[in-house]
Parts: sequence; structure tokens; C-alpha cells
Amino acid sequence: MDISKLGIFEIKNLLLKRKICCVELTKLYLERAHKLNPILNAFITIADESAILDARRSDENIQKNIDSIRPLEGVPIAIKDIFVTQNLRTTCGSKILANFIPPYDATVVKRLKDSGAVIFGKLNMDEFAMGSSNENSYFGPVKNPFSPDRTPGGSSGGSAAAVAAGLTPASIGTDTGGSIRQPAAFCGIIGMKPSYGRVSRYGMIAFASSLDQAGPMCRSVRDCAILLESIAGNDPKDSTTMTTPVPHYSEWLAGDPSDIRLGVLKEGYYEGINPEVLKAYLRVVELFAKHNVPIVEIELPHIKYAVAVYYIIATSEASSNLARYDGVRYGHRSEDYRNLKDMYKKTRMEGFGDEVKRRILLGTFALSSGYYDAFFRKASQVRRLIANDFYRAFSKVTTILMPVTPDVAFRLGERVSDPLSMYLSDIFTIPVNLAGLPSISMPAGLNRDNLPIGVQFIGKPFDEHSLLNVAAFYERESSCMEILSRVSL
Amino acid sequence: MYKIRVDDGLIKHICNLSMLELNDREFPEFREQLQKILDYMSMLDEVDTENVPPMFGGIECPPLMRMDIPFESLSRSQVLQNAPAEKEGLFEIPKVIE
Repeated sequence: MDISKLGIFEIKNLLLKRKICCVELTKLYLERAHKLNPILNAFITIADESAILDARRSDENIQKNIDSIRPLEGVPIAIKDIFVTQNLRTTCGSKILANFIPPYDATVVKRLKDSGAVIFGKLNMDEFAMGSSNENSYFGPVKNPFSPDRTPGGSSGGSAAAVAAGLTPASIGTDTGGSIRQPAAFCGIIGMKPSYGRVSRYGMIAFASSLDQAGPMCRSVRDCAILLESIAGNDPKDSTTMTTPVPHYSEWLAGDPSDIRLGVLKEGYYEGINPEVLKAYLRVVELFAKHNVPIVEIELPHIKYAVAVYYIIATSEASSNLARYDGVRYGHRSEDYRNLKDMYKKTRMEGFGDEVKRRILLGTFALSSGYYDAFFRKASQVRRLIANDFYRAFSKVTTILMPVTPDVAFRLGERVSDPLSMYLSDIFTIPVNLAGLPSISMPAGLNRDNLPIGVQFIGKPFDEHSLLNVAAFYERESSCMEILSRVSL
Repeated sequence: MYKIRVDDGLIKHICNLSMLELNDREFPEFREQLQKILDYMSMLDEVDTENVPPMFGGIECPPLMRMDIPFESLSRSQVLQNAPAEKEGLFEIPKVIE
């Protein structure tokens, strides 16, 4: 059986119709992961033994009770290596956690398992989710399945590459400044960042706590709905998760355009972006206009400051979150030190990569005495202005359409030595995180080098269901997911 | 935000605050890169933020408190299972009292 083009929905059908059993299916995914990982480097850990055991349990459940099986029963899923998994190594792409075996499951992992999913691997990522190219992973860069000399994007690059190449039917990534949507766009798949507070962050290794959010990365909008339904909702272990009821997202896939009012930015906002990206974006605007969806021009005057604001706030929060890696309770400890303070310093020097150190330094600076008001506080004030811009726009429109990135996937190595140019490529994804909004990244065709281009739909807080309706409409009318047939691995 | 000059003293100061040590390659490289990044960030100066309350969280609701119901926590052996060094059921660190 060729599993390379299957999503969650197709797999559920195969399992329910008994065309294949969970153990056989899981073995096929494990084999495929082992076979293709030397090419893509998408996996950090492949969980052969525990996956087969879980799959066996799912087979028994299906055998016993075919009429009331759980929503993801027996579906093999590999997830970003940022979620702690009980008794399964979790590295967060870092040397400092290279041998870390968590004693508990993240809430996202627990909910996936409670829904019946078979977690069969942990996917590569930029170290501590800091990066836009996956080149910051201690375990080496991931390759883009559309072109192996290109980045898959980051930080959830392993997840995006694995979904696009059919190494997993779907994945869960995390998005602090675009880390689900940008790699989804670079690899031609769908990636959804839910509203801040929609999905629990308990057991999701922290980067920037006021921005981090987990979400699905999939081959169809329907799969996004299925996965989000499983992981969303209040968690007593994360006091920032809201009690707002979680709708049955799968019931919001009619793709009805009648209530959509689509907000678009004036073209002036897109000066300097790749013309092919702009053209693809304008084609999407046209598609909606053709179906009589009102297109409304909006202004977001402060988004030009978003990159500066983000790299102050995110690094400040990171500098505090990453203080826990001190070589005392878990993780790497240097072997060569004179005293306790020296142990901390050497441990962190040896355990962290360049980008992580750079961000810790930047964040420590922004929070330090004498600079706090001018940097952290100022950035937090401009953050409010950016959020207010969105709220104003949403008084006129239901959904905002924007490109995901100013360019297509760049070559590996191209931007490593210039962190600022790497940061600037996040200009369209970052504002969404600062405002805590939900957004879904969808493919919008290929450029002349057959590299995917992405657009994103942005919604009101906790309005993921409307966003899925818009995405389902776009998916149906544009046939955008056909680009995945170009991947042949 | 005034113009910040990133010099060796500043890098040493923030390295000390963040318990990091930089090697001979990283030190000058990061100094230069941080200078470039902070220069870029000075664009925030042009934004009038008077009377704008800072936004510190992703959503602005008071944190939801859970009921104070005791539940089982990790066992001592689970807590210690990743410790680089342990002694008599405790984390072991280098001696801090002379």
C-alpha cells in the first residue's frame, strides 16, 4: 500500500473499513521514516517499539468496539520534538537536552493519545524553536521535499517536510512568530496557529510564553479540524488556556462564502516582496472576488514595527525561560568546571547553539536595569498598537488575507551569517502572534522553480471555526492541495 | 530609545547576567550582530506611545485559577531520572560553602 499521499481522514476510513490494521500501518510509516530520513533529516527520534505497542492496543480497541472508537484511533502521527513525551526522548533540537527522557506527557500529547493516536516519532526543529530555516538544530538541517538544497522553513521544519513528503499523515507544530505557518508555506502544506489560549502549553518546552501556541500541520483542512478538535480546550495545568467552548470544528467545513468579508492590505505594504509571491496572493484575492466575496481594503499602520517589537519581547521571555538550563536537574552538564557558577556558565556555553545564545543575550539586555523601559516596556506598548490595528480592521471584515512570507524557500546556508535578514523574513507572520490571533497558512501555487508559495487567512480571537470555513472554501475552489502531487519521495 | 553602543563591556555585562560564556569566535561576532539588531530596533523611537498601556500577554484575561485539589505528583525517582549527578536522593552540585 502506498501511504505517501494519505491524510488522517483517509487513514481513519481505511482502518474503519478494515483495509489495513493499525500495526501494519504503523510498520509502513516506521519503515518509510527509516528509509527517507537519511535524505530529509526530518526525524530526531523514531519510536519503533512504543509505536507498535500502541498500535496493537488500537487494533484491540477497534476489534472490540468498532462502533465507538476514538477520533484518532490507530492513526500514526509524528510530532515536533518540542512536546515532552513520557519515556520518549525529547530534545527541542538542542544539545542541552540531547539525552532528556521526560517523566510525563505534555497536555497536547496526552490528548492525542487519549484520542487514540499512535505517536511514532519526534520531528526535527530549530533549537528551542528559534529560527526560520531549521539550520539551528543541533541535529542538522532538514531538507525541503520540493528541493533538497532549500530550507523547509522553521522552526517546525521537520514537521512540514515530513507531512509534505508523506512521512507522517499530519503533525503538531508550534508557532511563536510563524513557526507553523512559514514552514507550511515553504513545503506546500496547511499549517494552523490557533488563538493564544486555545491550546495548552503545559509540557510544550517554553520559548516565549506570551506568544507560543501549538497547532496542526496537515494535508487537508478537514485534517486540521480533526486534530484541533482533539488538542484544543481549557487545561487546568495552563492558566492561560481559556474556557471558551471548543466547537466541533469538523462541522465547519462547508466552505460557505456567504458570510465572508475579506480584508486586504493596500499594495504599498508589499513593497520589496518577491513579485511571484505577490502575484500568487493577488490570484487568491481574485478568486474570492469572483465568488462575490466583498474585498475590503484595511490598514495596519503599525505592522512595520512588528519585527522589532517581536525580537525584543520574544528574546526577553526566552532569556527568562531558558534560565532553567543550568546542568543541575536535567540536561547536559559540563565536565570541566571550577565551582558552581563556572558550572552554570560552561554548561550553557557548551549546551546552547549560536542563535539561542544570541537571543538570550538580546533578551537579557532588553530586561536589564537601565534598558527595561526603553526596550521591553516600549516594545510591549507598540505591541498593543499592533493588536489595536487588527481589532479595528475586524470591525469591518471577518477575515484578513496576507502572504505568509515575502519570498519562497531560500537556499540552505544563504542567510545563516545574517540573523537580522533572517528575522525580517518573519514580517507577515509575527504580527499575528503579537495580537494573539488565529491564522491558517494555505498553499497558493508554485513559482517558476516549482517552489511552493503560501497565503494566510487571519481570524478574530477564538474564531477558528470561521477560519476553517474560509480555508475549506479556498481549498475546494482553488484545488491548492494538488501541489503535493509534485513531491515524489 | 537612544543609540546603544554595543562594546566589549556591555557584552561582558550581559554574559554575566545570563550565565553565558562566549568563545573567541562568538564574542566579536555577536557584538557586531547585536549592534546591527539594536540599531534596527531603534525604529521604535518614532512611535508615540504616550499613555499607551503595555500589552504583556497573548490574551488579557486574568489567569484562570484551578481548584486546589491535591493530585499525585512525580515520584522522587522520576524527578531524579535525568539528573546529571545525584546523591542520597537529592540533586548534587559542586560545594558552594568554603
